[in-house]
Amino acid sequence: MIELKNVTKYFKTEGEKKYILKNVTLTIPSHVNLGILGRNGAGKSTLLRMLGGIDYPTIGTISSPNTFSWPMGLAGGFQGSMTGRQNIKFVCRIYGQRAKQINETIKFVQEFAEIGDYFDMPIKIYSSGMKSRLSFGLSLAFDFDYLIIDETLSVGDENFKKKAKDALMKKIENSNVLLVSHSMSDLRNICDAGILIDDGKIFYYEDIEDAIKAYHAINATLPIGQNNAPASSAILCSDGKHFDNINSAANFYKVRPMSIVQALDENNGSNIFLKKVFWRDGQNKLPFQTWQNSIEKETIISSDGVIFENALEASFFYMDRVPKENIDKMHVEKVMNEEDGISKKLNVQFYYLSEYK
Amino acid sequence: MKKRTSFSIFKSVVIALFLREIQTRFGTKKLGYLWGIIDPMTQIIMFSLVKSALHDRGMSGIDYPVFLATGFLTYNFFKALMNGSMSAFDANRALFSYRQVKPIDAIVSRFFVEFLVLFASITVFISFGLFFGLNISVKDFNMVILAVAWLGIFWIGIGILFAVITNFYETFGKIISFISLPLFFLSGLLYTVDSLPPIAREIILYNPIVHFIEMIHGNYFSVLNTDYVDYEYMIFWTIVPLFIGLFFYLKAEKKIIAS
Repeated sequence: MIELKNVTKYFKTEGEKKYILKNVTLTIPSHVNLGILGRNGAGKSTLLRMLGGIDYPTIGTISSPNTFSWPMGLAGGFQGSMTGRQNIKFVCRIYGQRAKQINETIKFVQEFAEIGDYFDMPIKIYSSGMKSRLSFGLSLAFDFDYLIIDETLSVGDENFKKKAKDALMKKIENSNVLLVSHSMSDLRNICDAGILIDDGKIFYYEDIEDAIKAYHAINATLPIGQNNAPASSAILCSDGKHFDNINSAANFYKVRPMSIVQALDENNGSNIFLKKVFWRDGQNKLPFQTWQNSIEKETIISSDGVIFENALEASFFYMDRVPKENIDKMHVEKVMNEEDGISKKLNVQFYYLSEYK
Repeated sequence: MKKRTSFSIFKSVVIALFLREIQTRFGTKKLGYLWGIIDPMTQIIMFSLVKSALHDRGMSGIDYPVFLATGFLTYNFFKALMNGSMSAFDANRALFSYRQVKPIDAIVSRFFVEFLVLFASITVFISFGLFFGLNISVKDFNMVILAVAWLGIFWIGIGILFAVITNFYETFGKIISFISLPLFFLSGLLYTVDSLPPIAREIILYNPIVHFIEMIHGNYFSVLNTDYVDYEYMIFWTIVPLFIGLFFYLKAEKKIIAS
C-alpha cells in the first residue's frame, strides 16, 4: 500500500514552475501491479521514483510500510573500477547481508548474468549489455514488496530477454511491480491497475485497459495548437520506438539526421526511405504518405534517407558534410548517369524518387 | 525482507561505502596512498633544508623534521577531510538510488577513510623516524590522540556544513579552496605560537586550527606546552558548526537526494 497525501511536485526551470503533480491525494492498494502511463515529460519517472522513496514531493507526503527495490536495471550505481563481484558485494552490504548471504547472492547473480570471467573484471570494460545483465540479476536477487521498473524490461539478446522476462514473471508472484513503460503489451502482461499522469493530475484506474484507453484518448484529443508545440525534443516512430532527439533516431536507423528532419518538417512525419512515420513527442501520429512535395523527374533519394530536388542540390549537400572527399557540383549527376547511382566516394547510393520502391 | 533499525542501516551503509572507497582508491590510483606520504615528506624535507640554510638554531630539544611531521600530517588530514566532504555528495549521487544510502553516510565513510590514511602514514613516518634516529618520543600520547580525534570531529561539522552549502551554491567550494590556501602558513604548522610577536599571536589565535595544532605540538614535545590552547574556543568551534551543519543537512537532505 502506498499513500499519497496532498502531494505537490514541481521543478523550477528558468524561474518557472513545471508541475508534475498538483495536490494529489491517493491510496494505491496492496497487491496491485501498477503501470504508469503518460506522455514524455509528464513526469512518469519522477512519480515512479517518488513512489519508490528515492525522490521526494515538494509538498506533502508519500508513505508506505512496504519495501521497494531500486530502479531495476540501474547500472549508474556501479563503480567502474571495481569488479562485478565487488559491486554486487557493495549492494549486499548496503542491505545488511552477512557473509553467508552475500555468497548466496553473488552465486545467484553470477549464474543469472552469464558473463563468465568478466564477473571478476572491472565493470568499466563491460559492454552495456553485460552491465544490464548484471544489474538485472542483482535486482532479482533480493526480495522486495515492490519492484520498480523504468523501461528496462528488454536487455540483451533474445535468449536473455526471454530468460529475464521469465525470471521477472516468477518474481512477480511474490512481489508487486511499479512499471513505467511505453510498451502497451508489457503493461497489459504485467500490470493490473494503471495510473495516468497528465498535466499535474493523476488518474487511477483499477483496470490497466481503462488506463491505456484513457492514455490514447488524451493523445487524440489534444487541441491543434498544443499539438504543434512539442513538449520535448523526443521523437517517436511508427514501429513503437522512441528517441530522445533526432540525432539518436538517425543513428539508430543509420540515416542522416536530415532524413528525419525532412520527414517531420516537409512530409507530415512520413519518411519515404525508411517507410516509417515519425512524430514529435506531444504531437499526433499521422498516417504514412508518399512524398508530398512535387516529384520532378530528377528528384533523388539517397540511401542515407535524404531527398533532393535534383543532383546539384545533392552534390551541394554532400560537399558541406563530407568536405574531405572533394565532391564537385557534378558528382551526383555523374554517378547517376555512369555508375547506376552508386557513389563510392560517399558510400551512398542514389535513386530517382520516381523509380524508388 | 525484514525491517532493520535506522542505526543498523546507517552502520551497514557506512561500512559498505568505506570498503568501496578503499577498493576504488586501490583500484584506480595505486599512487593515491603513496601521495599521502610523499606529499608531507617532500614538504618536511624542503622546509628542513630551508631552515638549516637560514642557519636557524631551531628549537632546542626538538628535532625540527619531527615538529614539521606532526603539523603536516595533521594539515594533510584535515585538508583531505575538507576536500573529501565537499565532493562526497557529487561522487556518490548515483548511489542515492539505493534508498538506504543517505548523503551524510558518504561524508561519514570518507571521514573514516581519511582516518585510516592518517594512521597508515603515521606508521610509515614513525618507521622513518626510528630509522634516521630522530627523537620521536611523545610526552602525552593520550592527549595527542584526543587532539587528533577532536580535530576530526571539529572538521566533520565544518565538512557537513560546507558540503550542504556547496550542493546548492557551487561557487562556494571554489571560494573555500581559495580561502584555505593561506591556511598552510596561518595554522601554526611551521612555528609555535610562542615564537611569534605578541600582535601576531593575538591574531593567529582566532584561527581554531591553530589551537588544535598547538594542542598536538604541546602534548607531543616535552619542551613545549599548551599555554595558548583555549579549550572553550575549540569546543565552541566544534559544536556550533556541527549543530548548524546538521541542522541545514536535515532541512536539505531530501533536496540533496532529489537534486
